[in-house]
Amino acid sequence: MNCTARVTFGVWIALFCLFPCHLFAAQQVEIVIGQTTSRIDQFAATELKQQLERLFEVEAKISTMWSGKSTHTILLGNSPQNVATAEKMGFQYPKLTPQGIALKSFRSGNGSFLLVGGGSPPATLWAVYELGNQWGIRYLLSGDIIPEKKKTIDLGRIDLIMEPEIKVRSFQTVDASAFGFESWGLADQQKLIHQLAKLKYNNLMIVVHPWQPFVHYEFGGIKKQTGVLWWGEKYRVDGDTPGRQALGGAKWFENPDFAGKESYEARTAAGQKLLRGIIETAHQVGMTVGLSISPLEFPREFQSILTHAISVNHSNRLLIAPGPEQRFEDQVLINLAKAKIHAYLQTYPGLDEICFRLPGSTKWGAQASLVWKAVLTGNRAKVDQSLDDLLIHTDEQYRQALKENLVALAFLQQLLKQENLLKSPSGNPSNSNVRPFVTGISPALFPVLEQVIPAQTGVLHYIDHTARRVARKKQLLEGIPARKIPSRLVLTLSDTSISALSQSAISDIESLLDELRMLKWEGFSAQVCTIGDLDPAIDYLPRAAFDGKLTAKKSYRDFFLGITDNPPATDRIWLGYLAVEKATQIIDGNSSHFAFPERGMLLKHATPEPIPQWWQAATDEYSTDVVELYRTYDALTGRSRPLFYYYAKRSEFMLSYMGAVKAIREAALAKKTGDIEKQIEHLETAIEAMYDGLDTLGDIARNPSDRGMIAVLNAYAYQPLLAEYEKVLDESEN
Amino acid sequence: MTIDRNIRNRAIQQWSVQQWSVLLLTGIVALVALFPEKSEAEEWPQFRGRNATGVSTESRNLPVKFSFEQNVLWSVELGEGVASPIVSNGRVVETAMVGKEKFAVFCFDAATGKKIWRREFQTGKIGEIIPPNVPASSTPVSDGTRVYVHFSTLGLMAFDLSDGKTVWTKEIPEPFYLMGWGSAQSPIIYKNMLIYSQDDDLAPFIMAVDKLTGELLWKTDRPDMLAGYSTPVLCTANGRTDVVLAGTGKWKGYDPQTGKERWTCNTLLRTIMTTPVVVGDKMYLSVQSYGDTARVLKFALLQWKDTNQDGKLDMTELDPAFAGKFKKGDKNNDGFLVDDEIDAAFQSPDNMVGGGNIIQCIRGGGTGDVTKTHVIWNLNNKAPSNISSPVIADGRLFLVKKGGISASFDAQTGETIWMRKRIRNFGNYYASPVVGDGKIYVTGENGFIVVVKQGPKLEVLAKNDMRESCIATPAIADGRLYIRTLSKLYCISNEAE
Repeated sequence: MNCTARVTFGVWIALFCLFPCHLFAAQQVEIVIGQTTSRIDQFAATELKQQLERLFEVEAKISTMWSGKSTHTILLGNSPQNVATAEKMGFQYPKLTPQGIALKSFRSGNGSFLLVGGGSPPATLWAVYELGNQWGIRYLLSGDIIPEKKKTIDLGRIDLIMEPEIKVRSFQTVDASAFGFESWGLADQQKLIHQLAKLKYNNLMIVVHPWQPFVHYEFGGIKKQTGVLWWGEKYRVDGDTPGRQALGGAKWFENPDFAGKESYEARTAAGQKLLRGIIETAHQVGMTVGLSISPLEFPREFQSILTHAISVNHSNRLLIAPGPEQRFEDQVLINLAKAKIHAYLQTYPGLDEICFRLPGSTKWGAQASLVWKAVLTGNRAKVDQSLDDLLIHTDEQYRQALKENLVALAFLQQLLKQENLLKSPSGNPSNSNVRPFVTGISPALFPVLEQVIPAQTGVLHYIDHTARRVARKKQLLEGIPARKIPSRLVLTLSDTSISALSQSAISDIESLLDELRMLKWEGFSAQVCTIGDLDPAIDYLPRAAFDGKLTAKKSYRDFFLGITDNPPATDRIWLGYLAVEKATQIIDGNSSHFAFPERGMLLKHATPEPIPQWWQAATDEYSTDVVELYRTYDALTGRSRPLFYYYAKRSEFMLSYMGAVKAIREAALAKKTGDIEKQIEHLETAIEAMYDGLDTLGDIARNPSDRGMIAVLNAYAYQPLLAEYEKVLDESEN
Repeated sequence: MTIDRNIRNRAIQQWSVQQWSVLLLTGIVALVALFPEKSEAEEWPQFRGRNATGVSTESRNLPVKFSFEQNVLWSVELGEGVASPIVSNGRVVETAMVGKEKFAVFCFDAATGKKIWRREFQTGKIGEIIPPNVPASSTPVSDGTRVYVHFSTLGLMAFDLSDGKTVWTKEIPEPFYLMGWGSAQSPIIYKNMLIYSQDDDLAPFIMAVDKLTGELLWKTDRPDMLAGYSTPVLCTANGRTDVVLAGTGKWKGYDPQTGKERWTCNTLLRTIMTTPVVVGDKMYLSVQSYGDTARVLKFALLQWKDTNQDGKLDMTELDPAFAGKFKKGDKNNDGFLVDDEIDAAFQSPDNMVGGGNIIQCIRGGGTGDVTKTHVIWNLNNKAPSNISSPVIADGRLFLVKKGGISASFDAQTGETIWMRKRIRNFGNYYASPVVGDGKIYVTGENGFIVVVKQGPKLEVLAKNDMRESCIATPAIADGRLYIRTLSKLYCISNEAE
């Protein structure tokens, strides 16, 4: 072999060796985080690496200092090293507020760079998720939907700065229902919290109740002994439970973390482990955590101490609260509340906020005139209005609530004057004191809110049950001094009063968010009972907080287009949601508590009255939703398909439920005319509809709320209906 | 090689009669071991047993009360599937998905549940299927020596029943369904033939292959059919056996030797998912097809497949497999199918039938169009299910449909014995009832199997909880019930007590 031949041969060998590497090796992406970074920054880096590898044919590597070799580099966060690296290449880091996000492409030499930064570590984490969203990932509370096909990575042409106009984006959890988050164990809660962080929620409000097993305290020789879930209700799952396929052969429906925990001590230990885990997880992803408690309600075992206490309505006789004779400044009452608050703070030292819920059912109204001055003076405000003046301008139906509210506020002022009441025992490093909030303020007090709210206390406004109703009262929001008192609004996405059915109030929520932005409110607190098909609404709220121009329709479209990659199908989904919104409006406008999950929820419709026209109107809207969802489902392939099957099946349940209600009314009408055969036939139709509905839910249940709904509807709707049917059958045979 | 053969020949010649006797005996023992009690074991060799009747004539002492934990002789975890179990030659064969794209065929000892063999196959990408159908849905068939299995992406496969070794495989065009229902048709055996029909929306046909070799014997297209799931049955009348297949709008009888259509009876509805029952020279079928008689296919397509609801279909709204049919229907080549163009593309103009509810009895053995000559009785009656087929015992049809609503009719006259009586188990019914030992076993999708006494009055004997969804029709053989839940196979027997 001569020299030329040898060289040629060598070149061929070299090409042979190199070519496959270039052709087949995954591209390298370097994620640079700098040397001094927080735990959240490090977590953001691992999340980014995972996203890159799920989206693209790349190998992502995390480093603390730019190697100078990679062609694709992501500078994550704003560590001094990253800032210096960028500056060296002539790129200036954008200035961001602590919640600001920046995604910026730039080039230097042959390298392609992308800044993924935030004004704080949590914001950097949101920036990672925003990047994922831009690249096509959609974050649902049940998990992520990743685009089917991996693409070639391109770090160019990304230029985005986001600053939120609404700073607090809170989500409520736990609360009190088997078909809500009270049924979720820690593993599910952790997953939920991670998904919420991906959606840029930054506050978690844990709502707890005095009868639950999340705290133990003793006072005056009495030990707390009540520690149950779901108001002490138990939901049996027998062999003939429709929807049982979702319940895995269990004999009782349970929160998995409480399964087999029989004693108060065991349940309380489980409860505390759950809440600590929730708090820790939320902090890991940069969320602040609040605890919403009721300072004026106690388990009934404390009756002997609070001699004037009365039983709380609708509490399954588990609770007591101050009665009319109980003085608001009663030291025993204050000390008992103080003991309870301390117990919560001792048990959960990581809390950032505590929210005091004022009960709506005290009988304290008589003390209102007594406390009027005390409340105002306590707050060092000028008395420029008499209570009578205020009452005259208040609708009669709200006057009693106003008076009770006033006395409760007087009590709260007394309570907050207690030394070190809110001192965080072990201390959250950033807060020496836990930040107080109050909720349950009557709208009648809004005109004097500044005067009656304890100093340094924020307000979480719960104005009405549904977003639709709140939107109709949104002029009330204008009267709230949100620039002076940190104010948040509860945005109810699914309300318990109609929660057995799908609901949507996104148009109303959109208008309320506009109002919050305009009035400079601090934030919102999303209240969701059952997630169901609310993924796009839950996605929309924080997006709208960052982008005031974003409409709900566009947000939904972006969300679903990312999932379906099918524009016509995406348009159908929106039509489905509009139909659900109409159904929600019809039900909410005609009969609150129409499908409220409570005992006798179905049989209460067994009255021999004409079938209201609005039932059919609501049914028609749900029918439209079912058709649109199945049409969407039919048009899709791949990963997005199961989601729409879930939505469509859930929607089918609505039709079954409405069908059952109608048949029950028809049975009652038949009974009135003495036509027992018809009565039986209609009852059978109702049972069959309810059975099919629950069976349908059982086929698609994907979280503990769904399973809880099956358990609750079996207990409150299906089984009583079956019992009624058997009774009528027996009567007919005799 | 030659030397070896010589040595062996010599050795054979030198064997004594005694040695030959031992060898023979050993062979017999081995055969007995391979095919236990062949002459005595009851067969349930295909979907719904012999000729799809759903009736066991030999089983006695079948259990009334049982559950997932009571009277269980044996049970095995399989994987997801809805095919019915079959019993042949003392073996039970069943199929399942054991991975996202992995299909398995299992063979168990019918008495003990001991695994005899298992075969696994990579299926490749499987098209979208609407639940509750799942990919492992076609029921196998066996002649006692071989077992035959169909899978949508793999075609027909023949295995040696004794050891599971592949005998032959035959590619079959993959079926496509406009509404995404997925494949679920089951083959049958007639003499030396394996007969398989595939009424899909793309290229429906019925075919026969040599059961020993897989060689195609005949294939008859059924261009006037839409998607359907009826299993072919055999009807002997006037000294002649026909392969009878119910499909869109028509019963059709075929010559099993040639596949040539012998007769047609145009009395059915649009979508046929039930299987006829043959008793003597009569055939019975109950059908529920969605909508009224005017609801032809285009209405369903415009409701569900016209995603943007512009009143016309474009190719992006359909599976690409239908491009050819689409083009055929798009007469003005504007890229859309509108109104009659939809019919022209998918539903035969000669067979524009709609929905409804019917129960029919027709006589076999006809020639040509027997619509006006062979219908014995026809009921427009709301009793039928869309999927669960009827069963006939003691001259009475028994039907069950959604909600657990049963009905019974006199097989001779079609007169109602009872209507709309509930068997006290709600929910859906996909499995067909089966009969044995004077009992009717009615399998609900919710996992309850209701046992009804065979007789002129509805009498529920028991409601048995299998705890898991049941789509598959159970099998009965040798006093045992074989019940396939979504993930498991149970052998239920009083022997377990």
